[in-house]
Amino acid sequence: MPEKELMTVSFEQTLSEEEFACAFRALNHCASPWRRRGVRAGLCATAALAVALFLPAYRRQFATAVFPAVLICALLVGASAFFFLQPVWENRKAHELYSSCALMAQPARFTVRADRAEWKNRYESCTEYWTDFLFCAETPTLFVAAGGFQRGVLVIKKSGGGRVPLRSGRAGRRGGNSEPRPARGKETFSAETAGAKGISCPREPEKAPDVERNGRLSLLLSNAFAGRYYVLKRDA
Amino acid sequence: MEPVAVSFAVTREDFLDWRKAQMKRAMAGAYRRTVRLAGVYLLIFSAVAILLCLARGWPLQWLAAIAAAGGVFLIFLLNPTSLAVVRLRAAEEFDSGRAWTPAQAVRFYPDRLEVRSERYEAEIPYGMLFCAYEDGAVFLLYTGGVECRCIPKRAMAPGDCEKVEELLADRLKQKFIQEGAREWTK
Repeated sequence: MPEKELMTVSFEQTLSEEEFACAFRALNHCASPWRRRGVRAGLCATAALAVALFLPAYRRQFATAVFPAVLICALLVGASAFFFLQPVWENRKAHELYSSCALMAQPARFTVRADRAEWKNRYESCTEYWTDFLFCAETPTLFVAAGGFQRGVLVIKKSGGGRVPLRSGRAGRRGGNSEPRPARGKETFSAETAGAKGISCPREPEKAPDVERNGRLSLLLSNAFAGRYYVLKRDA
Repeated sequence: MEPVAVSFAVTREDFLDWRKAQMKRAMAGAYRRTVRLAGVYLLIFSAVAILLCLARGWPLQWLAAIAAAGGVFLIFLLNPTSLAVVRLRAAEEFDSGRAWTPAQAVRFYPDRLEVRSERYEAEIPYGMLFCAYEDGAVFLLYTGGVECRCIPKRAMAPGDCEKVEELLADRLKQKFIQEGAREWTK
């Protein structure tokens, strides 16, 4: 295959609300460690523990422990809220964004190149250069780039989604990958394992994945974003 | 009906007006009312604390002072402070080149909006717009909750501004928000 064709991937896609929510959660996960529910819940729990350590000293000094007890309870409630309710809040926000942008839901023809992405739907055609974006994240089901000038969140679905090879490496780790994914990944992600892990992202098990296309997209984007490319082992 | 055509490139001042208008839209309506209500509650709390302090000698003077300062800030100073901060950040964004502001041509047809620029071309029916906002300096056309296009009024020919206002008001109904011009947006 000529090199120019290797560096271009064309396809059509229609983004559903569930897929956008999945991309939005991945984006939040990668944007900053402080936005992760585990980090926020951990901070609250650590603060609660720190306050609890000072409880005996406080009681000796003031002969009561009402204020620190209330504080500990509030921090534990906060930790639980972040851990269990943050995905609900994120889904709600994603729903608001998706339903506010009618253009995003249109079927579109995408052409992904080494330096840019072009897409065209019934109402608009647009070119966005990768240098304009802040970062890109790859999940088992999609790629999501954040911070474009025309579209703040650019979502590229992976072909198939029923069985996608995973990269080795920890979730959220930075780093570009110079190899196509099929050559490296041995671990696989399937609809069954997704169910076992309790992941609720949409899958299309009936459609055979185009592993080559996914690999080329991964190669293109990881090269384009280099240090701003994040790989999530599972959906956020 | 002839379309209203506007051709322009966003200048630094336009960009600052754009960001200010975005912020004013975000802080309009229920948000502004809630903030003012919170300010009023803080002032009432402060007054009650002062009364308790004077009548019963409870040591609440510092709490009352902090609540009063918070109330005054929320009612009178939050909006101007936010505008100043937004203006400062927008100026930094523009000066550092992070704002992409190419030359654009926008046409308002009776049934659709046409946008043409270097990397973006669109013909969007008015029904697909999320909303539109107008203040003294710019029109903002929202294609999504956080995506908008700015059209500076300075680039419009005399009389075009009124035509666009009429068109947007007619097509978008209550989705067209005019700062201070309509009762429900005040």
